[in-house]
Amino acid sequence: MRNLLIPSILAAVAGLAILPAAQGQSSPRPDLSGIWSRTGRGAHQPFRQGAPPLQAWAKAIYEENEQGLPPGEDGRDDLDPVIYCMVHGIPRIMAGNQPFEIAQTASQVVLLFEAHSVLRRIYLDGRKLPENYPTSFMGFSTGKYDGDTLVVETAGLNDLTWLDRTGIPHSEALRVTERMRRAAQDTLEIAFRFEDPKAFTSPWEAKKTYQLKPDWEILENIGYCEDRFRYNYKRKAFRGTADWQSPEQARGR
Amino acid sequence: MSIRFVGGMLVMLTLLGSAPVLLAQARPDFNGVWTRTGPRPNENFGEGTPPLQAAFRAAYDENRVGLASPAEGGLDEMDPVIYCLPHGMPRGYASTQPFEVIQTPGLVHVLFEASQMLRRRIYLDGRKMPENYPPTYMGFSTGRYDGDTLVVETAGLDETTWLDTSGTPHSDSLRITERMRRSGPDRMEIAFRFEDAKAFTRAWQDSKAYQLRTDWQLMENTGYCEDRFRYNYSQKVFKGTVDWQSPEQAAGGR
Repeated sequence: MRNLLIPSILAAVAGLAILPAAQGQSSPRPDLSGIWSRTGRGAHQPFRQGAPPLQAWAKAIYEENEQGLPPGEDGRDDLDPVIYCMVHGIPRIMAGNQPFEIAQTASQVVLLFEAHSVLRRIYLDGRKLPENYPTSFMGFSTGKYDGDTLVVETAGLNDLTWLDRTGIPHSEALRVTERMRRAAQDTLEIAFRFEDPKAFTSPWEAKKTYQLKPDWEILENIGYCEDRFRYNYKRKAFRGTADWQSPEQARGR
Repeated sequence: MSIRFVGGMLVMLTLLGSAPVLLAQARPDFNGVWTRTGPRPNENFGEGTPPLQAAFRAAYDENRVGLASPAEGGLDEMDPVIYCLPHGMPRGYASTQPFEVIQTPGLVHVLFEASQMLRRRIYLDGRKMPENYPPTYMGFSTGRYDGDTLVVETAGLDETTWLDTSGTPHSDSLRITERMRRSGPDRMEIAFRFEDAKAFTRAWQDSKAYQLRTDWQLMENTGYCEDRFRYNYSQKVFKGTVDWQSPEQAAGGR
């Protein structure tokens, strides 16, 4: 018995020394990586059915954005910031079905979107939004893993975006909390919570599902106005002249 | 069994066990935020006039009409970036704005702060550029590790970009080979080789050096013309009207 004990212990210790090296990573963490595309119909979806709980000033803007259109379905093009070459921003881009790629490293999770080639960076090191950090379309995001879920807090959003395609306005006080979880090998679920003490009368929630697209690539996409940029460039229409126009304008529309 | 023999076996087994970790660490690490080195780095590639074929030399001269010094950048009104188009490849690497490298198995992402945060994907799985792949501002890049160097080949580039700030034109036949390597604890060098059978009389090369910035973050940059987009949006100027203008135009100026 004693003759086998020491070799057994040594073999077990050697085995333990080999295992972690063979695995090549230090601790399990949910793998959200891959190229994902929102499920369901429509290139862009609303985040909810019906009007959100808006304060009076915001409700007035929402109604103006929807004027003449089926309620809860769409917002007016001529009031939509995206038509003016601005990006969707957070959270609107999460309701579109153009794909995004999630790349995870030890210190951050980046979401690389096809639409406008924008990117979100989610810091995992617990850093706070710096004082006087400029507001942005994509916001400032920090995240932490909670079991199988990545919990993300986003603030520092500018107020130029529509929250979704129905034209929901928000202020710079908007905070978005997302719980991202891989519900199945090819399914990502994100539960959203929207809080805006200046624009909303209460927080409200939404959920979207995304499907893994292992054979898709993210394509380059400059933005909605690329045709206009190229048109004006070819015509050498310098931005200081009155010639700066869209192809439609040139055709006399 | 002697203790020494068992001890030797244990050491050997532990070393074998850690070998995969050591081999994995031999791949060069380019992760992080990088900026051009030097107090006032030149935003051009190469010295003086590049070796351009006749028609492209004419375009280069047109981009530089009236400029006194070869060090000056090309004319604004001829520069695609002024029209809200991206810097693209390789111009982003000559910019003074930072870029970030994120290495994942199978892909290296390079994220540029300049130019709407446009980014490159460098495929490491040996895939070829697909047939009829549309030309893009960043091109189609494949790379492989060669010891301490990442060697990258890029093709499929859109001809609309300037190769650099001086106004160097190129065609969609431009091919770029880069050799990226860490040259110090916080340094990286990229050796660029430019070939363009339609635009250049010969292949030519240049090297740029970059410094790691551990305390820098890339800031959001949604485009050269963001001020114009915001202005027209705040004025509710719909893109179909002739009122689309910049704040300077509205002020009656340039």
